[in-house]
This record gives sequence, structure tokens and C-alpha cells, in this order.
Amino acid sequence: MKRFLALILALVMVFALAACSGNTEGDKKEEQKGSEPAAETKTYQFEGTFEEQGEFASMLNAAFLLNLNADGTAVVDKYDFGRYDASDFASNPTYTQSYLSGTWKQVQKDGVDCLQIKLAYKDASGNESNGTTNYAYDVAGQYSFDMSYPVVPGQSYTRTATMTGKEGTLYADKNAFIQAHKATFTAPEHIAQFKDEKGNTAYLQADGNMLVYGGYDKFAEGKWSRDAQGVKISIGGTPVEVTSDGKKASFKVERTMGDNTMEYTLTCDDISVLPAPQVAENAPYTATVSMGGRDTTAELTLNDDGTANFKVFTNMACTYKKIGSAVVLSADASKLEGYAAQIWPNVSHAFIINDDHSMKSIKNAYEAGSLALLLLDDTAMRVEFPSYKMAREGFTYTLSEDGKTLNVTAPDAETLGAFSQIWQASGSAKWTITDNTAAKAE
Amino acid sequence: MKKGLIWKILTPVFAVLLIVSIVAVPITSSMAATINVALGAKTQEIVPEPGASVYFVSNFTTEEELTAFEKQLCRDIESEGAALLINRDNTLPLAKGTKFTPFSQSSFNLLYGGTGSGQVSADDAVSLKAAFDEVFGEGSVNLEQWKFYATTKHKRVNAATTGGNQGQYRIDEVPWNEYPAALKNTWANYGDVALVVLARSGGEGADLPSGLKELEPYMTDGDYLRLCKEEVEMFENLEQLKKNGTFKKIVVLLNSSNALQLDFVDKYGIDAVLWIGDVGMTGIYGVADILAGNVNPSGRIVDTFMKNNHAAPAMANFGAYKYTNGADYGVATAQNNTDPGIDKCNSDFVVYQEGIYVGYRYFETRYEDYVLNRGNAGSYNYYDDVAFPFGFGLSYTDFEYSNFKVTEEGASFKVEVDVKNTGSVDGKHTVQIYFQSPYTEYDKKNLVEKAAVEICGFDKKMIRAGHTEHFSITVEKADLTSYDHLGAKTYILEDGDYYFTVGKDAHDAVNNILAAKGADSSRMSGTGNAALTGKWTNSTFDKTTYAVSSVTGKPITNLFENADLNKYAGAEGQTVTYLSRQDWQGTWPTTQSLHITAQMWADGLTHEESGRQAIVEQMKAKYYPGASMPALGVSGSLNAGDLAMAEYDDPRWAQLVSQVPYREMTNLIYNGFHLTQPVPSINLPGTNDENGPQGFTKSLMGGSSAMAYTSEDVMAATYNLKLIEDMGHCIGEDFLHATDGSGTVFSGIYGPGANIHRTPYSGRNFEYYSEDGWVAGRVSAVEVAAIQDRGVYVFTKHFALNDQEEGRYGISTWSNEQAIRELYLEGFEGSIVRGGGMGVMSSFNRLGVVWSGAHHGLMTGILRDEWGMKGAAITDCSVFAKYMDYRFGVLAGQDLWDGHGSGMATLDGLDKDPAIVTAVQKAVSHICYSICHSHAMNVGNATIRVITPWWQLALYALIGVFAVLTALGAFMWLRSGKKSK
Repeated sequence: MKRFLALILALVMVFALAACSGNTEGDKKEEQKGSEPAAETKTYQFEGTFEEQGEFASMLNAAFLLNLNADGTAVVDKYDFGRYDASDFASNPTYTQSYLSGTWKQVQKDGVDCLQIKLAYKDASGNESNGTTNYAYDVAGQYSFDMSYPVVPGQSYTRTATMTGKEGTLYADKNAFIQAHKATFTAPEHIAQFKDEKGNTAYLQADGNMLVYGGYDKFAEGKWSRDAQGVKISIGGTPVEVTSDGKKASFKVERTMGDNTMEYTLTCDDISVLPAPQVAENAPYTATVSMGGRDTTAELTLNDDGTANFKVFTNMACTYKKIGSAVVLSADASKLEGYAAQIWPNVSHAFIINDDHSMKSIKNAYEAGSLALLLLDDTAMRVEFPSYKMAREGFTYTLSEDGKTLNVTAPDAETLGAFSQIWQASGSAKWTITDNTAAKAE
Repeated sequence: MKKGLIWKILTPVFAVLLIVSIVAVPITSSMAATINVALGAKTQEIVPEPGASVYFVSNFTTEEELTAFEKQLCRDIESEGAALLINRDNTLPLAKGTKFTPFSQSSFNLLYGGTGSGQVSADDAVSLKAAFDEVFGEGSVNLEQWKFYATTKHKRVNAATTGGNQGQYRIDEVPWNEYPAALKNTWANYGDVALVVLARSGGEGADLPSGLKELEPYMTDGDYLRLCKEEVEMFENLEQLKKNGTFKKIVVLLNSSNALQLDFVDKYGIDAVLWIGDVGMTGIYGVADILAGNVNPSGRIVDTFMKNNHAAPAMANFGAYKYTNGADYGVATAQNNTDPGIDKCNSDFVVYQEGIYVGYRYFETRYEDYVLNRGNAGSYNYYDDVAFPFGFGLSYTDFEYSNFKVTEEGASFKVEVDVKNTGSVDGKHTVQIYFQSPYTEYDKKNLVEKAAVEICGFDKKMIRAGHTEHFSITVEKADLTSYDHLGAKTYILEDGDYYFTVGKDAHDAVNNILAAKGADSSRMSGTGNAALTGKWTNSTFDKTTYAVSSVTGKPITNLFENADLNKYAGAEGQTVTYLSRQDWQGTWPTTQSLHITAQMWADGLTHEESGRQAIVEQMKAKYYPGASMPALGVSGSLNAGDLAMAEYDDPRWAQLVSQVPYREMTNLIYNGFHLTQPVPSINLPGTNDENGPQGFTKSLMGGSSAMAYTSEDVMAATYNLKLIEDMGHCIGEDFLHATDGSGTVFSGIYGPGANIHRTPYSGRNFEYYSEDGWVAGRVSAVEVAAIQDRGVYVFTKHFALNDQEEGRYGISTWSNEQAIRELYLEGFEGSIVRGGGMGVMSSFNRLGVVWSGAHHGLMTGILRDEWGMKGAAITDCSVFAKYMDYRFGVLAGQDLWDGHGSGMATLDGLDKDPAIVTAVQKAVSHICYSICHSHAMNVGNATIRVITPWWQLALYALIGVFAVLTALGAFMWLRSGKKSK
């Protein structure tokens, strides 16, 4: 039995190794191929860096260590310092030995002594691409040249790192090079974080902004807010679902890199420490609304002159009226054009607005003398007494087909509590509706 | 250790590895294309048809033979394209043995080409010293000066290849006080000529700074095309050194495709100026040939060279301007596809307020109106603005014109002229024919603009000293038409007097016409010769002949009203006053300000999926009304090889495409980043495509041999279409000789570029031929036909109105239909209609608010309906660029995408949508047409097998191994447990 099992095991391993054989040349210790390099007695070491312009492109940042060896070989190691891993080079996934390789020799070009350095990328099959011939000139003992290297090996898209060096060595070893070029990640200012175990993090800032990092690269921006129900988050203007479990809250975010999409689940262990964000006075109110079966963000900016800008996909100019904690929007639909004309009839025009500039869609609201009647959905109603900032929910209503008569049923006395005196004095079981005004029916 | 314990430890380890391997499959699969490219993994196996027809065969016996031919060709192009601008006292040519001291660090670090996707490696390029030593004799160049520049810390900095920006450009000339005294002592020994090289680079992704405050410490007024203070200092000192006899002559080489501001060439004792553009790999030999008199210069500039670059009206609106209310819409911008705003790209706009008045069309027209005292031209002084007119170029000999004659011949004119070489040396000469069409009351009423002169014909011949050559040039009447976007809404040929003339340049041409009109010579800059003009009077206003496509017979009418602020209703009252010769001063462009309206948002700027979906529905209703479901994925026996070289109207194309399953079609359309995917259901081989336009870029960046030719403007300035044809053939040959590691051929080129030089500051002017679209069209036609003759399909780029780099991703480009058609589309029209070009690359920008690839008028109305284009249109790099939505594109006529990104696969799941499926099949048919007319068909009716790349096989093997090991471990673990019991 043992022999049988050993045989199976051996066969399996052979099969696996055979399948993987194409990868052996992709190992870090690449063989030199091509013409034999000429032996040189001196050695040189160069270094250079490239940093991509662009906030999201730090993954392209790299430092290079070029060794011109005594045997005439030239080897370039690449260190992706933008990934903040300064561990030992031998096991460091961000350190690629022999990223480019080739030969070098001392030559005279157009009558000037210089170092000729030939470099190329070799793929796993040994095919060469992105070959370059470089010349480095002696400037007071210092040599330099611009090294072009492929961003995607084999393709013509390249970046350029200016390499400078000298005879001998710049670094005692590769780890010293890593230490010299390592970068330290500085997290953005924040008051709380959602993160996962791999270090992907959403930083919540005091002003309600949120910055989402995949590792060390910011790849998305969003907003956060708090209300009684918990934390609300939107990314790129689109609300995302936040799941809560006691004090713990999580949300998922997708990151696209090339052909690949990754999903991160980011968690905050204690959202109770989150203060309400300091929302700017003129910041728009935001709510999640449903359009065409899809949730999206509505933004409402209220101007002092009674006009407002209401945005759901597109901007819609309108006017507003504050009724208690609600605002009711109105617009001349005939003057809305294009996309705005399509959206306006299909989206709520009444919202309860909150101090943190969140808002919630409701059916409608009516000014009813000293009261405000807020129709929360098709049956539920909230009654507010704005001058005392008092409110009660638990009312129900029906609206006549012509929309002119509102019948209201008050909750029981226990629910009404102290509000019952206000309701008895100012309320009514039946109201006559004109626009957004309710008058007690005769 | 007990055996049971070993299995207890190993089994979970194997299980974890198994899970990791399984999870790795979908993750790596989604990145498969990238991994394949990175690892060079083979993805297809082509089993050629035995005895297959070989459609395209190299004309060269060996690669060495080709290389030798190409080196000489590049040299010839430069020697015929370089234009001699100044040659005081016959400074040039110079005798063999002349000693040179080069000046400027760029003399050591010549500019061979631009940067970006069209970059060329200077590794194997010939240096100035090597070329001059060969032509003038060994030791002709001051070696000490050469060494000094080799080792100076000062070096011109080009903007980064991609991901660059304007702020990166540096001239960094050596300050005069850094030249050591010992070095100065060598100058007298090399004092025949102080050879000054002024180089300015351009490249993809970054226009040249034209007044960037942050760069003022490095360049005059932050303007890269002006002399910097170190260069001024250098010239001032050289002038003194010439006066004291250290140097005898000062010769300047303008090593740039971006026209420097030439406000200095009459100062500093400069004796000669030669514009050389970007010289390619061996072009500097051609420059030396000219200086030595081995070649008589015959290049004629294809741009107006200005004394004040900001005198061009386009400069008032050149750059990326922000919509004022963009923040309300959450817009974003991206300059490169690693920038965060890449999926939106909807924050910027530019207005081409100058209309048709670009380059000489402005300067010569304003000049004529000044001379004739009309159009509120003001006190215009032509030579305050212009240093050298379009078409200018000196020779070492003189040419005299006579017997100018114009004969109407149906749909064309025969224009004849005799040219005598009155000098003492042989020389080539380009005859340039210009015309002027009448500027009528109809034009004024309908806002049709007319340039004072337009080039409409040319020919070039060698003329021996003392001899006369007869030139007979055909001018097509269609080239005399104007596009009337308000009145007739099509091309018109107006009634009235048309003038033809032969001019040594555009200014000479307008002066001839002014002379014929009897203009007041005291107001003229220069003299004209009325004898060199011919007049043709058109008696009828013709708005029908040119209202149908001569290629397809389909009607021609307005297609770009949504790109014109004055016509696009969604602009909601935001209008523009285009520059007009009715009132030059009153309509002079000013920087425009725009805001986004709801309609603009809904029509194309939106980045919301719901908004995009709404656009898709509108496009379906408009362009595919009542679409029915086509046959899809039907079984059949047709192979791509069966349609090799088949005609476009062959009914089998539809049958072929109907055999392709929807998933194979979308895979082909999605993944076109420098390649096309194999389509197994019809045995269509996958191919490789590569960048141009100066040559086969991949090889130029390391690989098989290939030639980097000059910048495109030098090519055009040769006015020698035979050279262009040879070059096109050779570029095709370079592709024909190349395969990648897996044996897949390179059969498509991203080039040539056919946009125009709207201003001197566009980063990619080196990739475009001229400020004149007609010239671009004539040259591109020949180049494209020649490339395709070698079995390589072209993607002429960047279609269209992508005449700047700032804001290039998604910028809204606003213009009017006359300018769009008469200037910006002409280069592409030549490529496709005259050259038979199979494809284009659509551009990053928008026309109005609609991305170019989604603009139905552009991608179908123009390309297919008017020009009859047959092959594929690819996008510019679309990686991450979600605004280049696949649905918009295929519905508009876009076929292939240059890159894919997750979340972009918007055609997925639409295989039941009749309109989408029909559009997708059209796109696939176009791609098939291109490939089936390329040397990829040299395999004949091959069998194409899609191969699982080795790394995926390895992954599957690992899953198998770990599955077996896990099972085995579990078994042994359980067994040992039972035994112990």
C-alpha cells in the first residue's frame, strides 16, 4: 500500500512539475542568454527612480538598481517602493531581481569615452523585448543615462528613469538599497476607519468626506454621514449598503485594476465613536431615492431667495417651501427640458431635511396653521408643531381621489402623550387641501 | 513522529493550498489578457492551410537589404524635407573640410522623434558628429566641444513618455559662463561655422507650454517655443565671436516639429537657418548632405512660421477649459488612463472659435483684406506676424515661372506652368498651385468663410541648371467647393471668379492674385505677378453636384450640428462668434466660457449608468429603429480564410459573421489592446497591432530591425510622393518581417496621424503632417496605400478634432461644420478615399458632448456613408475609460476597443437585443474585413485553435495535485485513526 501511494504521489508531482515547467525561467534567477558578454575588470553600480504623475498611479513608482558586473553582464533589479514593503529582498514580493538584463562594456562613441549598456526584458520563454542600448558618460566621476523600461513588458509603452552611478558600489547589498528607497505610508487625516485584514481602508474625515485606499493607493472617494439609524456611505455619488451588527458596521467596495475587479469588505468595529460630520452650511442635502428601480443620490441645494437646485442625475431648477422639518419642491414642468423633464415627474418632491444635511424622501407635506402635516408614506403621517420643535409620529391618513380632502386618524392617547393638547387645540380629523396648505374642514 | 500526526498536519495544508488555487482561477482569468502579454504566453495555434496562397511577400531578399534601403530612404526624406529658410550671402553650401563647433547641448542630444506611443529609440540613431564627420571629413566637428556637451549636467528634458505634463519640459541650455576657457580656446580651430541646434520636443499627453507661469524661471514667459535666456546669451556671444573673427559663419538648425517663434533670425549675425524637424534614425546625414551641397535643398515648410506664435487666432482658445458648473455635476478629468477621473472625463471643453482661419488661411486672408481695405482688417502688418509663409523654402538655385495656363476639363482643371532653373546648379523644385474662390454676398449671409488662398495641387521635379521643365497638374473641382452649413447644408461651388496661381509660397500666391485684381501695391508686402494667375468664371451656383458622395452616392448634409454651439439646442443660448472676414477685429476670438446644461449632460456628458442607458435607448431608436434579431451563432462551414481579399459587398461576410457566437464577438471587440483576438468559430487568426507613425514602434523600442523615419511634417515637406510611397512600403515591410514570441504576426499599424497643426504647441504635431488638411490628405493617401500594399491594415489617427493633448480624454471640442469638414477631416478623407485606408483610430475627445467613437455622424455618416470605409475603427487607448462605452460605440459605428477594463463590459447580457446584436455583428464584420485583407491571411484557410496558456494549465494542474493530495491525506489520516483504535 505504501509503495502504491508513493507511486501515486510521485506521478502527481511529476505531472505538476511538467505543467509548471514553462515557469522556471520566470524565477528570479534568470539565466543570461544571447551573445557572451565581454569581461571587464571594473564594476559599476547605478540607481534611479521613476514616480508616475497621478494620484492613483503609485503602483507604477519604482526604484532601480543596476549592477555592471565584472563579467560584462548588466543586471537591473526593480523595487516597487510604492507598495511600502521594505522586507528582505529575497522574499520581498515588491522586489524583482533581474527585471532587465544584458551586457555592458567601455567604448568610445563619437570620440568620447563612455559605458555602453545594453538592456532588455526577457519573458518566461526567453524572448527578448524592449531592448535598449544606452551610453553613460563620465561627469566628474559620476555617470548617468536615461533608462527606458517597459510598463507592460513586450509592449512599446515605456517609462524612463534617470540612472546615476559610479565605479564600485553605491550600496553594500540589495537590502541597503531597499532601505534607502523605502517609502513610508502616511494615512490621510481621519477620525475613523473602515478596514479589512489586508490593510484596505476607508478613512472617514471630519468634514463628511471619505477616502478609500486599496493598500496604499487611493482609488475612490465618497461621503459619509450619521443619523439615528447608523452610518450612511456613498461612493462616487452612489449610495452603498452599510450592514450593522451592534456597534460594528461594514460595507463593500469594488476596485478595478485593468481586467481585474476586487471586492473589499471594510469594517468599523465601533461606529458609536463617530461624531456627526461637520457639514458645511451651503453643502447640499442628500438622500437616496429610487429611479428606474435603482437607488441613486438626490442632492438638494436651498438658496436664500426661495430657489433651489435639485439634482437627480441632472440638475433641475425649482423653488421650495419649508414646512416644519420638510421642504416641498415645485417647478414648472413645462419649462423643464430634456433629461430633466423625464426625471422630474418620477422623483419625490418632498423631503425631511436633517441638520447633518441628510434628507429623507416623503410623500408630501402641508402647512396646517401652526402645525405641519408630513405624509411619510401612503398611510403614515407625522405631525409637527414647529414653534416648539415638537413632533409625533403614529398618525395615519387617507387622501381623497381628487387630493382635496385629508382625513387624519390620531394615535392613541399613550402615543400622543403631551402632544395631545397641541393636537386637540390645532388639529383636526378632516382637512381641506389647497396646494400645500391644509385648512380645517368645516 | 506518528504517521497519523503527519497526515493530520499535511491534510489541512493541502486543503488550504487547494482553496487558494481554486480561488486564483477566476481572479487570474479576469486578468488573463494582461498576464498573457506580460509572460508572452501563446494563446492561439495556427495550423496553416497546406499550400495556402501567400498574399503578401516581401520585396526584399534579406532583412539586411531592407535595412540598408531604409537607412538611405530616411536620409533622402530628410534631405528633401528640410527647408532652407535663410541663406545670407550664399553661406550654404559649405565646402568639404569645413570645421564646425556645435552649440547647444541639443547638438549632442538631437531630437530624433517625439515621445509617447509614437516614440522612437535613439539607440541606433546617427549623431550629428558622426554624420558631419562622414560628409565633411573625419574631424570636422570640434571634439572638445562634443565632449563638453557629452558630460555637461545640462540636458533638454522632454515631457514623460506618457503620464507627463507641461510642467516637465525644460530647455536647460548651458549658461555661457559655464563654457571653460580652455574649451573657448579650441573654437578658433573649428571656426568656419558655429553650428547652433535649437531643439524642442513634443509628445503624447502634454502640449508644449505656451505661457506657463511656473516655467518662467526656465523659459521666456513660460513659452517653450521662444528662445530661453541662455540661448539669447549664446547668440549674443556668438555674434561677438563672429565679429572678432573667431567664427566666420553662424548656421542654425531648427530641430523641432513644433514651429519655434522665429523672432530672432534677423538678429545676432545669423547667416543661415535650416528647418530640419525631427530627423529620425539617419536623417541627420541628409542635413549634412544639404549643408555640404551634396543635395540641393527643396523642402517647403508645411506650417506658417511666425514671429509671434500668439498672433494665431487659435491661441485664444488652446487648452483645456473647465465648464464653470462642473462641480455641480461631479465631473472629473483625466490626462492619462491612470488618472482617477478616467471613467468620467467630462469636465473640459475647447472652442475652435477661429473657424477655418488656421495657419495661412488666417494670415493670408487677413492680409488680402487689409490690402483691399475691407473686412475691418485694421492696420494689419503681415510681417509683424509671419516670419516665413506656408510653403516657403529656398534652394541653392533660382527658379523662374512662365507660361502659366489653366484649362477646364470637366470635373477638373489642367494647370500648366514652365519652370526654368536659372541658377548654376541642378535642383528639385516643387510647384505649388493655389486657388482663391469668390467671397460673395451669399457667403456673408450664410456665414460661409473663404480663405484668400488654398493649396490645391503640387508636383516636384528635378530641373537641371539652365533647363526648363513643364509641369502639368490636375486640380479637382471638388477641391474648390466650400461647405455651407447654414444655407444649402452641403458642399457648394459658387458662381463667380475663381483664381488659380502658382506661388513659391502661400504669400507669393496671394500677391499674384492681388496683382491680378489690380490691388494697391503700396499696401502690399511683397510683389505679385498677375501673369502667373488664371481666372475661371463659374456661371452657376452649384449646390447639387457635390451634395452626394462620389464614393457611395449617398447624400451629404450636416452631421455635426451637435458640435456647434450655435446650432446645438442643448447649449441653451450659449453661442459663439466665429472669426469672420466680414469683421476681423469685431470677431477676433476671446477665451470662451461655458457651463453644462441639463441637455448637454443628458446627451453625452453624463457619467451615471442610468444616463448612459438612456442614451443607448435613444441611439437604438434613432439608428436601429425596428431592428429585428439577426441570425446569431448559426452553424456553418465558412472560414475567415474563405473571404481573404474578398470584396466588401460579398454576401458571405454576413454569413461568416452569423456563425460567430455572441461571446466570441464581444471578446473580439473588447480586447483590442495592440492585438486582435482569435475567433475560433470562423478560424480568424488573432493578430498583433502596433504603434506608428514614424515607423514600427515596437521594434524601434527594442526588437527586430525597423526604421524610425522623420517626423510627419518633414515627410510632408518633401512634397515628393514617391518618397512617401517608398516609406509606406518599407513600414509595411517592417511589419511583414516581425512576429512575436508565439509566432503571431503584426498586421495592423496605429498610424499615420492625420490631425492638423492647429497651433504650434500641440504635443503631437510631430505625428501630424501639416497645418493644412488638404496636404495631410494627399500625403496620407499615398503612405496609407503603400503600407496596406504590404498587407498591413492602417488605423489613421486620431479621428477627429484631437488637435491638442491638454484635456485629451473626453474634452468637449466645439467647432462648426465648415471648419470640421474643410480642415479637420481632410487628412483622414485622403487616407480613406484616395488611399483606400481600411481603418481609423477614433480619438479621446468629444465632438460637442459626444465622445468621438460614439458620434454616429462621424463614425458612420462620414466614414461609411460618405467615404465608404470598409475596415475597422479602433478606439484610442480605452483602458479604464468607461466613458468610451461599448454600447454607444457599436451603435455609432465604432468597431474595436484599444483596451478593456473591469466594469466596462457593457455589451454583456445584451445578446437578445436586436439592435445591439446587429451593431455588434457590423463591428465584427469590419474587423474581419481588415484582417482578411492583411498578411495575417498568408496562412490561408487555416485552423485556429485557441490555446489555454501555459500558466493557466499550470494552475489547473496545481488544483489537481492539491485535490489528490488533500484526498490522499484525508484518507491516510482516517486510516491511521482507525488503525490506532
